[in-house]
Amino acid sequence: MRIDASLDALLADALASDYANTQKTQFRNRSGRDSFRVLIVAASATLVTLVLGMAIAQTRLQESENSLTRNALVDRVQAADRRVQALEASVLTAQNDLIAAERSILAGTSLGEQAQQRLERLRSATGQSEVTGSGVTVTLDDAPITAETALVNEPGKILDRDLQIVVNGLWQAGATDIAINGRRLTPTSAIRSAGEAILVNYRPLIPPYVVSAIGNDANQIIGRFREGAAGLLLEELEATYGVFWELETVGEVTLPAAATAIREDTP
Amino acid sequence: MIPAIGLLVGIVFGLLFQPTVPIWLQPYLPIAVVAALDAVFGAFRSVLDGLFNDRIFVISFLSNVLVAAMIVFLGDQLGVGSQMSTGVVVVLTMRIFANVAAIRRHLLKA
Repeated sequence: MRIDASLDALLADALASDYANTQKTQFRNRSGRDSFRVLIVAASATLVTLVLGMAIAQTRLQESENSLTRNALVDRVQAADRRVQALEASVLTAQNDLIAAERSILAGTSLGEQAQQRLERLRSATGQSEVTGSGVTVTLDDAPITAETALVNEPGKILDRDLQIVVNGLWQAGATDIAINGRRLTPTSAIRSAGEAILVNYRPLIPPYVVSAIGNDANQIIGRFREGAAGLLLEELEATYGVFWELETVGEVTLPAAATAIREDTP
Repeated sequence: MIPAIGLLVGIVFGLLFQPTVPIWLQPYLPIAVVAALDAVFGAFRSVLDGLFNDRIFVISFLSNVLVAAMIVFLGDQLGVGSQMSTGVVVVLTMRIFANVAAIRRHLLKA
């Protein structure tokens, strides 16, 4: 009760009218300086709404400037993205030219043939050449957002760690070449996250994540993958978070060459 | 009548000509607007009550704006500017609500 009373007192003070102590009649009582007074009041009223209009205009200006800046940034990011794509394509054509040139030089002599074979082995092992073969694909996607999961902060999102475990599981199951969403994995590839996105070879992926693997025996890869740590993890993710995943064999799949050159590390 | 025209002229000028607000004044502008609106609604109510007094109107208008801006300025200096702004806005909004309710009772008898 006491709290209620003191709250009421607080409100009564704050809400008291400015005109509580004036007598009626004052406004009706016209005197000689009347027009001057009306002018003062009108000027004050004008000032009030002038400031109001300024504030509204200011806020709008700020918003349009903000969206302008954001749009400019988005444009720059997209332009840079297009440039990277074009450069990657030119790297790939240059690599193909290089391979063709090597072939024509090394062909003919037995020493050259040996060197050529060795080069091809190394290239496919490091993901520098296109490979075609039968294999498996693992498709992963974030859990669908439903009314229930929308309340959770991050409902069933595939993380970079999950992709790492899946890829390692495929290597262990006998895959020889792996690509994620058409990005070839090389010995120096990194799967990591930056903000919301998962990066492979420092380029962001867009879900769903399709991990394509080529190996000698697709059925053996599937069996080993399911029983391995990766398969168990995926089953648990599906049961706990509703993450989508699918494992299937594919008859013929082509993995592109990696667009990133292998960096040479000097000891 | 003339003050009402003044209200209209003010908002039209403010919106159309977009006078530039100095940077240092920008944080206080919204607060000043709310404080001034409180004075305007209070004045409108008092007109209906038959208690209007131009001296009180001008003084309450100026002091409302100054005190509100000063509180926010002090808050900024102490690092609690946004909390102070919230407090000022809460009190002034309550006052505006009370005044509008009184105006409504006058005009609509409800």
